[in-house]
Amino acid sequence: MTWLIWRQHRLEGLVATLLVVPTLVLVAVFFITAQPLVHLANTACPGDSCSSASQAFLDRFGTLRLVIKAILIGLPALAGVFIGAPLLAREFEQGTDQLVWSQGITRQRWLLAKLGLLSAATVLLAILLGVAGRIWFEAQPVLNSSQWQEYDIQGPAYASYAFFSLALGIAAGAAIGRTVPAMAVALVGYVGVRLAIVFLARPNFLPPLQWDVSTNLAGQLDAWMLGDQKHFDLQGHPLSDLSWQAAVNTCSQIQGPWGSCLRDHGAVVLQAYQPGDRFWLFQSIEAAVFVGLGIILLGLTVWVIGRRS
Amino acid sequence: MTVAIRSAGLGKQYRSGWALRDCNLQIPAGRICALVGPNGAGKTTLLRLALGLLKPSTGDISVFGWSPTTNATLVLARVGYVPQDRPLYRRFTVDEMLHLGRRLNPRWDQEVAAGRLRRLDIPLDRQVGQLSGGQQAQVSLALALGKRPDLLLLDEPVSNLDPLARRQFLSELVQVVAADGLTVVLSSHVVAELERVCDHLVILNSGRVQVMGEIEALLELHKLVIAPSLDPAQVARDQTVVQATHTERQSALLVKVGGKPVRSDWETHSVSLEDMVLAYLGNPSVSTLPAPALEEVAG
Repeated sequence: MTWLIWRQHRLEGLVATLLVVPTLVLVAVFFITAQPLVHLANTACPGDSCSSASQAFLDRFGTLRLVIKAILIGLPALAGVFIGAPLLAREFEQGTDQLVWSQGITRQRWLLAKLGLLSAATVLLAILLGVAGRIWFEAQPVLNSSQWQEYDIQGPAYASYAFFSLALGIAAGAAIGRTVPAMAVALVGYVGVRLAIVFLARPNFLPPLQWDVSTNLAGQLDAWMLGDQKHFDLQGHPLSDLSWQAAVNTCSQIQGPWGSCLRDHGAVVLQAYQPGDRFWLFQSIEAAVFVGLGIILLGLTVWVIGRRS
Repeated sequence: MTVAIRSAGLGKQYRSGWALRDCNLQIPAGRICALVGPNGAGKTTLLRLALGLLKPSTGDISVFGWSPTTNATLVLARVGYVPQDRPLYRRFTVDEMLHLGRRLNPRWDQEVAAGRLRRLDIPLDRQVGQLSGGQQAQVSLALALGKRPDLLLLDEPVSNLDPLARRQFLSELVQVVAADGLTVVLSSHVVAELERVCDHLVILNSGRVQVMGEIEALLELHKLVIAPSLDPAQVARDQTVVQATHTERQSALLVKVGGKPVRSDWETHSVSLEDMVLAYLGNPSVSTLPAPALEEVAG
């Protein structure tokens, strides 16, 4: 089976390698060449020359930085569209399922070998890219970026996207039986599920913490701010617009810390956030979600193929 | 008599309806059996049931006594199959197709497969997609024979082949069977070529077995009777009329000879396999099956 899988998918393997290896090289080049400017920016910040040093970094490396990010964002979707969707659909279209299922091995063994090997290869490449994404993130001036902003191109979550994408493509191909529609479903489905998790699920993996803006958010530079600030009175009830305006009008005329002035006038401003030390926990939760979805999809594939006539 | 394929009450229902119903079948080992019927008669369904690619909706089927679904690996190792349209991986070379067979089949015999293709001057290093239709059919056959099967199932193996390739394919097949004594079931909706090749016949019509038996015996049993225009009921009293054609002056009747001899003043002719098959396909209400009692004795 291993030979057959290699023979059938060596072209995809070659193309994947030709996409992944240059990306890794690009990240390495970025990391090495950007270091002097990153170092300058990091020593200048915070300070008077901070913005010019940061700007110097962006002027020189802004494009490369974005190119790498775009490639990393796009690659997992390709796994589903170009490897996953045709995997079974093309066999059905050309009738070769009948050929291979009538050889001396059962179709379950054939299927499990295919799913296992291609998943393993895809996840392996995606882990490499996820590590590269983290390196890409680390290779930037500290003040320029937040790891929450670059959450989607690094770590275990990134590897899990590729696995999910592949599984979705395979399941779509098995269920639809035609390559091109399965490719479309794989792409649309991948983007849809990813967006849904980003906007609906991820902010609530754990209940957000509340930051009282009148106090200092010590050590939480790396927090992920969720939504707008909300206004409350000292008892914790939502503040009416009228009272809020009154407090704002008063405080805008005085010198001194804005937050504590508002509090003196009966207004508390709260900002929901996820603290920076939850980053890897969130990555793990999201990876578990996508791996779980992927496993369900592969299970459905096994079921569909088992029932197929 | 060893039975290669036996089914009892076998039926297969798809969402669109019954493809095969109440099919009681015995195909003896060591024969070349033609499985004939119009498109959609259930031929492919029957072959795929025998291979375990489908599960029966009713009844059961066995191959050399094994159930294809519960003993899948056993049956798959012993049965060679050339599916409809003879699918192959078109980007593989011939050699790679044979390598696939070697990797996936426990009893693979490389010499049987590769030697056959070499004798036919089919280049092993050529991509399958670049071969002619006839050559591709030979690769499909070699792949099925390389398994060293006891039973070979061929689904419309000569469809879309030109007449020469058709004849070459079938003569190859006859040679193999003569040499190895394996059982072949060959489905077709074209009957013309089969007479030279096959010795057993199963006619499937609308999902049911209509005719089953030795071709030689069946041809002996059927006669074409030409008589002056007469009342078919008169013939039907003594013989079963499978097909009747009347003109003003005379009637041509394809009859199954019954107990009483045909009147001696009527002209009788022997029939060809094709005429007999077509007569049956045109008249689904008549069937010719071995009597159950005889089956018991034979088995």
